[in-house]
Amino acid sequence: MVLRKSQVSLDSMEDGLPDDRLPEKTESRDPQQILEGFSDPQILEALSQLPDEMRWVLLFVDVEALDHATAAAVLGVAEGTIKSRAHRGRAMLRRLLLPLAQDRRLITDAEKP
Amino acid sequence: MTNENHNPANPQADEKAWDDAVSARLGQLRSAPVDLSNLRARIDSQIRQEHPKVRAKNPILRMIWAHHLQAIAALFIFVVLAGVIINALSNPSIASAQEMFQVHDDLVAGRIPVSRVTSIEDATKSLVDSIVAFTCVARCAQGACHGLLHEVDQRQANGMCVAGPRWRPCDDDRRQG
Repeated sequence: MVLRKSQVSLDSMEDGLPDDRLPEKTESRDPQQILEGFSDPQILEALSQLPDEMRWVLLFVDVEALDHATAAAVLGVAEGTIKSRAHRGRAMLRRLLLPLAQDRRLITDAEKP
Repeated sequence: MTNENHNPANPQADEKAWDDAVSARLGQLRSAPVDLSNLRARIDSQIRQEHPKVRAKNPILRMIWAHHLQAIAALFIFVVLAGVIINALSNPSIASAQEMFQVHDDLVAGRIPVSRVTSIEDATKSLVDSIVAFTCVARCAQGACHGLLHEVDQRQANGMCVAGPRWRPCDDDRRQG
């Protein structure tokens, strides 16, 4: 699998998102709605900042939708390690994206987990 | 699309909601278009970095040079084979009387290993099995064995053949060629 090089850096979010991708500013927003506010290149850019072991797990498990056992076999680690890395990787991704969403006022401090 | 687990008042539920949301968002990348236009160039540069021997300024020149090498090798093999065939066809077809006499003496004196067979066909087959060569060589050897049989027939040597460079293509083969 080859991912295209990200064309949009996270910093470029300061320049604004496309209007049709801007989520509505509500007091309590669903996580999926917030994440929909990021374009694919922005998600990939954030993904590229994760440590290798977590990035590969997320690519296999979430992007390629491999089951944990297959991903564990490919990466040569235990299945529990895959689950753990996937969870921690998603949390890291969220921590990378949320401040940017907050800067753009996509979410408020109160909504920040 | 909303997430029913989202509940800011419940940290655990919220954590689960975010986990699912991130997973779902990453899953959307599966259908994202992938730009492969620079992939070949990046792979080539990576290979050149790891294997400096394959480094070349122009891949087209490298390809042409490789094809020329193949053509030169093929021409060389063709010239060698043609030389061998022409050389073989231009020599006398069978052993001379003197050579036959010498072989006969060597056989009788036990200086040459002898395999006994019962017919010319068996002798030919034995020879072909041992030398694995061209058809004309086999027929030539058969002619040589013929001469030997004729000469040693009275001494109860029913058939014998000797593999070696003394056997050359027959007149018949040269005429056919």
